[in-house]
Amino acid sequence: MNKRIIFDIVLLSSVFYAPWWIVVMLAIVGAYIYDKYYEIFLFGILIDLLYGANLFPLGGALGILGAIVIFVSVSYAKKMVR
Amino acid sequence: MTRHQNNYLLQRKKNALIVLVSISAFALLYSPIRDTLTRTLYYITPGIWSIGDTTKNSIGFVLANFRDKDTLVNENRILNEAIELMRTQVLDRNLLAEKVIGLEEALGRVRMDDRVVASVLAGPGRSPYDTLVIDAGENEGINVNNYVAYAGSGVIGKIIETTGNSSKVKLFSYPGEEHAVLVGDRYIPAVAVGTGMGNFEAKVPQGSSVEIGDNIITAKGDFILGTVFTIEEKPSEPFKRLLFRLPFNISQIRSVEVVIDKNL
Repeated sequence: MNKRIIFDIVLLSSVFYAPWWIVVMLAIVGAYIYDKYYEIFLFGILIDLLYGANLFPLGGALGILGAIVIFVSVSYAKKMVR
Repeated sequence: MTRHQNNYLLQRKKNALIVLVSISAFALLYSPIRDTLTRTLYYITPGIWSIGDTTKNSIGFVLANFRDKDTLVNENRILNEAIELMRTQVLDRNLLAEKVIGLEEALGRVRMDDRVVASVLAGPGRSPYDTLVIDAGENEGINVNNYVAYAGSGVIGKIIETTGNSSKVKLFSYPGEEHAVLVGDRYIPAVAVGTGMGNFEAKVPQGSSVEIGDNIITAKGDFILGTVFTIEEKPSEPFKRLLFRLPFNISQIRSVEVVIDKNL
């Protein structure tokens, strides 16, 4: 549980300080390592609120859509592998 | 626990997840809620970014004392940034001065810009949207659609969202974004299409007099949008494809100027 909180803090920091592709990679790792990694949706919303706007394509919801894609595809991949 | 109960719990979790995601998506897509959330978030985030920058600078300063080589590399980087900035300023000064004088004479009036200098809190490298976040907002008189310039007059984008102390800038190089521009010394009209991170492409008719290093200026506002760095042409096609970019590295800029009175 503690490791998960630390990982969440690292991911949260990366949303603010790291390039977006590092955030994506960390999110994939988090979704793979941890069971039911629902935090990913919060980080997706945070990215959209921090950097996006309504006038962008897909309503500026690239973060949350990316989070859904990562969550679903990694969950599927985990089922296949394990 | 029976299999039936397990399935029931799993189904409930799935439903809860779908509801959670739907509410999140609605909050993002419905402007008033999104606006409120953004404003709330932006009360805190400029401070977080400032702490990050301060920490980074402090660590850099401490390490520089111990590592001579790194100090030199860092100094070199700063000097290169300064050269790039000066090069940009020199590049557009003559052109702009000439055009401004011409316009003022033609219209019989003097045009003045009201500019606000703002620091960049988060650049396009961090954002997946090709946006900048700056530390000036409504309190400094900044409004949506104000132009954002760098190094005096190289225009980079427009304000798309503003809160009390911060604003979001959508870069003109946003992928797919189209702008009317004038190419080179002969002011050939063209449409520039953003390709991200300060890069653009445009097409001009075959036979047009365009060279590498030519300036591209916006059709409205006389702002320099970039300089041509590649020209692709095939004899079989009626157009030349120009690739151009901002005359500075967009990911390295630390401050910008918001042109308050230009809603073009």
